[in-house]
Amino acid sequence: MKLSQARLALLPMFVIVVVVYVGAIVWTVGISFTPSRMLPVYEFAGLDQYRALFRSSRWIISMTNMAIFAVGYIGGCLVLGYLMAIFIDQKVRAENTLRTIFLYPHAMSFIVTGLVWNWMLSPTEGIQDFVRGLGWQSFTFDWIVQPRMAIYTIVIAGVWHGAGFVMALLLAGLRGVDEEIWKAGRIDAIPRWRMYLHVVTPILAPVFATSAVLLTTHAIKSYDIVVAMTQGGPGISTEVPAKYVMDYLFERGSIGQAAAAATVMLMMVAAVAAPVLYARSFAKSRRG
Amino acid sequence: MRLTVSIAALCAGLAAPVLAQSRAEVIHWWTSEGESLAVRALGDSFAAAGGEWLDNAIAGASGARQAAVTRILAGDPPAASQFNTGREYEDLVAQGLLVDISDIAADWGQTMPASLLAASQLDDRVYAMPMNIHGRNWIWYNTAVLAEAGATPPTGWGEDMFAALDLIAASGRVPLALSGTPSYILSLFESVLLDRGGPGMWNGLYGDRSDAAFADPRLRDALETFARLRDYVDAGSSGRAWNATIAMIINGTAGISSQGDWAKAEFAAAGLEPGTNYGCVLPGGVLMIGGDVFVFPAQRNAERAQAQRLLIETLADAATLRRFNQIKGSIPPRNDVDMSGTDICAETGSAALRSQDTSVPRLSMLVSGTIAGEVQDLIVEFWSDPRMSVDAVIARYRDIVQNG
Amino acid sequence: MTNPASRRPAKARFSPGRIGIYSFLFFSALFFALPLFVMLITSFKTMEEIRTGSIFSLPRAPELSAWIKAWSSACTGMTCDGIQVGFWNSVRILIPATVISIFVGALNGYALAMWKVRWAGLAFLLLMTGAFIPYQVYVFPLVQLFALSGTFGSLFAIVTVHIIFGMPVMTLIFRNYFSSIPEEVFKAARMDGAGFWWIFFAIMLPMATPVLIVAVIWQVTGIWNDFLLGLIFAGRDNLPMTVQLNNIVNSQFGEREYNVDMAATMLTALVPLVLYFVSGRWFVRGIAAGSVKG
Repeated sequence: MKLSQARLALLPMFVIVVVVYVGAIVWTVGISFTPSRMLPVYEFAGLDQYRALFRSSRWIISMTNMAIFAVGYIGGCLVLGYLMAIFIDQKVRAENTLRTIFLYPHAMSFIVTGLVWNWMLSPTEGIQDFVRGLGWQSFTFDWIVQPRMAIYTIVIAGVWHGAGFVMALLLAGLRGVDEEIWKAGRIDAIPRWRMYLHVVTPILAPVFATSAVLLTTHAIKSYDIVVAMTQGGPGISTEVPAKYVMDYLFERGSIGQAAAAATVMLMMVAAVAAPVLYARSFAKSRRG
Repeated sequence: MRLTVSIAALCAGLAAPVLAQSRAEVIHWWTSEGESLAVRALGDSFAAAGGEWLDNAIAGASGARQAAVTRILAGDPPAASQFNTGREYEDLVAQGLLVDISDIAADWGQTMPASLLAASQLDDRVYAMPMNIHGRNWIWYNTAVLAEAGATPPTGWGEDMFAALDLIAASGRVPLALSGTPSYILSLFESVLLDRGGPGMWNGLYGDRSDAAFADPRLRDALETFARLRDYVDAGSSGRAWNATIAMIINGTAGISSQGDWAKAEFAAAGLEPGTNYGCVLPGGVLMIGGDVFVFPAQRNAERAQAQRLLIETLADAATLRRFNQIKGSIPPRNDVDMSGTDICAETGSAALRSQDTSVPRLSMLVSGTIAGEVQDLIVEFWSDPRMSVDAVIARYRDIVQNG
Repeated sequence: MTNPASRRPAKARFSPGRIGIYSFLFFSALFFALPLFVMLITSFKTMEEIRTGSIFSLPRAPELSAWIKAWSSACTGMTCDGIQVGFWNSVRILIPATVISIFVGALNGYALAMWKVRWAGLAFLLLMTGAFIPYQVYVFPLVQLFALSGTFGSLFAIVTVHIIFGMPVMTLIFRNYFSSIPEEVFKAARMDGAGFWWIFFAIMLPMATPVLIVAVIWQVTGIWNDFLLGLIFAGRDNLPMTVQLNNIVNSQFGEREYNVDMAATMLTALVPLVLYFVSGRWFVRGIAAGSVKG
């Protein structure tokens, strides 16, 4: 039986999925129905944690911010990453240097790069101050202190952090596109930009999908970027759900509340992911 | 199981000097250069007593607490772990995971501020050892900036403060330097609240949690005064670190700031003298105290427990406490620790500590972490959103404290 | 695969289009490099200069003292030995965790893509779902699991934890890669009587060299930069250097030496940065062969 070998190979994954991932998810959902504070206690508290969660204006703002951040971050990384990949793919000089510059943010911890972003965006010591110092006195760039705009500075730093990796993935994709396709395009005298838009982009769809999945997990789990840049401020205008979970888990000693928040996050992911996954598995089974 | 025990016994027998067993691991978050020196003073005292201090420093209270709690849950607890003075270790006590140190603390009732002792106790047993006290609600000002603006030093958050702030603004400086991060925004409000309401108001809000306390006009007054301060901070305050904020007072870009007494270390590092170059004001004459404690997780291993006992005795020693607090720049938790040679600000603080009428415990010593956190969220939201009405804030405030 | 760049059609050197391309890349590079520039110049300044000067001004008299201090003498608690303390611990965690997690991911990906195993699709789906929760949520149950097995606070525990949390992305990458390999390759091998393991080791793994590099980069970056998991699971004797880094850059009270913070961060990032640099070429080609045809 060859099949049993495949099953044997997948055994560690099955064990980890069942024991760790499913186990932890079940545990988390369970804890969200308890009044657990710093340590887990196993008493039933009904929906108390969820009631508290949705009464919190901070949680509501967090959810909105996650939506803004996810759209801006995923979209920004894909668009900027793709543009950079296309431009780098035009036989430019210093390709290695450029690629390393675009990639390096990935390697550095956010504790300090977030601080640097905070400095640069601060109206009193950063870019605004610098430009005004050059003589343009009315120049204003103070999003980080504007409650309505601050979340977009998080998006900017997020794109800075993530676009390089997407660039690398897509550049690789571009390099793999069959040369025959380009030849055919040239023979038919199709402009290059139309080739990219209508021919190459659809070919790269799987790479876009892989990138999007990775970016989405980051968009949902990111909180270190917010802690490093704004600590959720001004006010509570840049709070995100993952930071809410962290604060309650360790800072405020209420793992019941953290678990309720994590459960809601998980349900949202499931709600968004289920149709996509269903469609994909449908497409796959049709092909194979 | 029996085999492991006998092997352990064998190893213990082989390692001849008894003192070699007195190794005690300590988790703490004193990681800056000055704090490192203070920790070394503790380690030296422990070494002198025959122990070996295994240092496990983790910057950031939340990371350190997380490491400690997970280690305790995993049955591999450190000998001692730092916590903020407060209610956050109550759960550990309830599950019997901390060592009762009531015998060591027998005379603390005479020497320690009552609120601090109360925060270290549960059901009249002592489970935490206060190491230091920090006052959190001080006002600091740059004497030269005020003089130049023609302003007289404020005495609190009253009209004299606003007169001074207006004059500083007119002189072209930043009137109020604020570290616009959640905990410092809350501290600013608390400083105002204590100035307006004093300990009575404070205990009414967080002790009795009565409707009357929340209906008190002094609470409304405090919130309105706090809201007025929005106009006196600069655009760069949001997210600014506390030390960068104090630097504004030091180099004269700003006139007045509200900050804990750890600011003094920055003034000292810059060569500024209290009373001459900078001034300190205790608004309302009331000191809000917080600080650090050690808790001692229960040990399963007898030798570890023995080492832990030695550590507890060392840390409770007055000489150790004095050296530690001298280096750290904080107030010792007990008045049997002699602290001669302190400055005028420290004297004001120590004097305020002597009476319950002039000192209050910080929020997290009185309420759960969840309530403290949600009060902070509310105040921070109010600070940044001028559209929120004071009535709405009071209603939510009451709801959080009474039902949280 | 031959050098893909050489197959590009040659273009005129100074057309308006070229100028557009270069200016776009130049401004993008500026955007990406600006924070690094600030970090670099800050690390060469004295604290006095940082306090008084603009963040964009060049150091008046560049000095290396912050770098030396960050590496060997910055205080991180009672000891003052800089970030070098945990370097070898980090290496000891990094190597087994990277090798095993990639091997397991490759094996999972291969089995998922080429063999039909009942429940495997569902397991993969659950695995990917789990990847969306902040991993801190898993810490409590995992701690109890390791405590039960008596392995808490050891190299084994931290390596296992990295394997667990690396599994979703590793499996995803390899699964997509192996599904892009033409089915004929697999069928021909089966026809020749090759078994599960033979196909994996002799045919699929060699073909996966490029995607292996991608996986190495992803895992090395993640594992090298991890701070929290190492702190909790590795035990006192195996703490990675990021714990020291955190102690330097994240101290709340006392003086914050920004020049040392910057130097320590860049020093810590050197290992992944060197990896990016030396593997850049394969990195890109790896992804090319991997996920393109998916």
